[in-house]
Amino acid sequence: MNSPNCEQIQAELLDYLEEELSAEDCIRVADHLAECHNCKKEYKGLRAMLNKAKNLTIEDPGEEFWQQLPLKVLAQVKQERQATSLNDANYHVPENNNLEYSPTRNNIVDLFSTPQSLPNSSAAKLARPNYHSDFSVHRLTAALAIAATLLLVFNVMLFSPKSGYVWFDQQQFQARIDSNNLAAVAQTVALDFVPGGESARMGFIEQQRADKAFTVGWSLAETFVYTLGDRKQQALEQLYDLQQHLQNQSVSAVTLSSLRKTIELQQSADAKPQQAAELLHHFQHDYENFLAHTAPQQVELYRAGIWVFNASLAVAAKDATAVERLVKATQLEYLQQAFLRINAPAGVHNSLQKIAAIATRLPGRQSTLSEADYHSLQDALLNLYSMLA
Amino acid sequence: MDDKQLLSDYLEGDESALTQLVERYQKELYGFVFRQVGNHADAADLTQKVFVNVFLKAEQFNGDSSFKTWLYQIAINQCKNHFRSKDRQRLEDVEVQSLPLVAEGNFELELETAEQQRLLRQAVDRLPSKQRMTVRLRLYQECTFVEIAEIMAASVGTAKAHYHQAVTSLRKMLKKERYELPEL
Repeated sequence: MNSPNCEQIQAELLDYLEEELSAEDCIRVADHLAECHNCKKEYKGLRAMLNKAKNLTIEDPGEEFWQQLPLKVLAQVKQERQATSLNDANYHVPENNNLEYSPTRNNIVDLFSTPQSLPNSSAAKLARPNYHSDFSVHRLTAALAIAATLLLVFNVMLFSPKSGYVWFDQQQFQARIDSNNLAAVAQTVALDFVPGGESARMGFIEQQRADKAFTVGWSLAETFVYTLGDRKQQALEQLYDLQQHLQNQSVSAVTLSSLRKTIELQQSADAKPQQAAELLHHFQHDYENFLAHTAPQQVELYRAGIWVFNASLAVAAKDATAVERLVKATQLEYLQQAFLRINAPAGVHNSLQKIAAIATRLPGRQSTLSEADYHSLQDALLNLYSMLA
Repeated sequence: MDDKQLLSDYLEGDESALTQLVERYQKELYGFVFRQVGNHADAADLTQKVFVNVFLKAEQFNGDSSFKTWLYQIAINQCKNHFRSKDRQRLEDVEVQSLPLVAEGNFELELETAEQQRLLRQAVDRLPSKQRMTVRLRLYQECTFVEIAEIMAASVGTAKAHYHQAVTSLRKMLKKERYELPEL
């Protein structure tokens, strides 16, 4: 530096370049630069660096990208607003109900896992059905229990005491409900839907390809039921498969963390079904978010997987009320619209319409499905499954 | 039409207001996000997410700050979430993408320019996070110090201090590389 003044001038160069100095200081710095070679060199170097930085280029993604981006944003915003709106309309929980409620959980898995809705399995009086040796008998028995469960759950979730609907007395059902039966029915559903029966259940996720969001949704809903039925081994098998295959798909560790925690909890001896179910809820939400950000079209298939499983469960239980609620609720309408958006095959629409038509003509107070409706609904759901899974 | 009016129109059901706002800010927002993440795929994805979040949260915009400030606040949070969720390395460790050379013109000059740009990018990436964000907002996005202060939730004085420290550090780093940039 040529003079002690240079240090101060150089400290002011940035403000000088940014025009942040007063007029008086500006003149002082300019005068100094006119005389001092070193400071002028520093000034030029700084100016060159800032100019270069301002002109740092990035690769232009191209005109098509700029034209598409506003349209994509608009489509996604509309889709998410619509989904949120449907959730809000569909799952309003009365204020006097202390159920935990998340408006983003767009499926009825909540219905099977809401802690207050769960029966106390220790109070169960029914024997655990043996679905391998006497499938029809156990199904009928389980159907009664499940019908009761679903009626109770739907009433807790959907109706307030002021709504005019009958408010079922929970005590009436507690002696008859065993969530083990729900798990048994869930397994029969899985067996019904997977070609090859029980032997094909081994490595179910692998066979059905976990890269299909539909299968993940279906499997998750099934896992819920095993979790709530305290069938740890079955739940763990599903969870291991899910984890392994989702890891292979590079699903982020953050998204999978609640799944990992569920597995850890299930591995411990004192795992509580309701705690595990709550963790699965988190995963259900996290994975939907992951899909929304990485493959938005898959979100619809994921939701469809959950819906089809739960609908199948209600049909297997021959619970007309549950079926009616599932189908008449805006969820079916939402699915129909969603599948239109993603150009699903015509067969998917036909199956959904068939289900809607049957549900519409169900008598209001019928609690058990007729054999004809049961078979028709199951056929339609099997068709849906075969086209989507 | 100003940004706030467009946002208000969107909330009243005018979808064209959304597309106008996206078109108005998409290039500068993409540039900002690209400089955080260093590649097109993530930048494109994040830019879309930022806009989607902006319009999903449109009802929450209270108009105290400018739309641009609000947009960048959401963008910064989205970038942070991106790195957090992807379990990525810190921004300092992100490999700077080498820039493609243009096909025509003076090859040596272009090579020199690309090298200068690479050095500058690396230098900016090595700055502490607040300084780095400030320098990017100031130099690349041409934000005023008042806007930077709002986006960074700091005072104007702090924003200026970060900027001064950042530029001083950049000069030192480039001198250490013995790479004096020629005057343009």
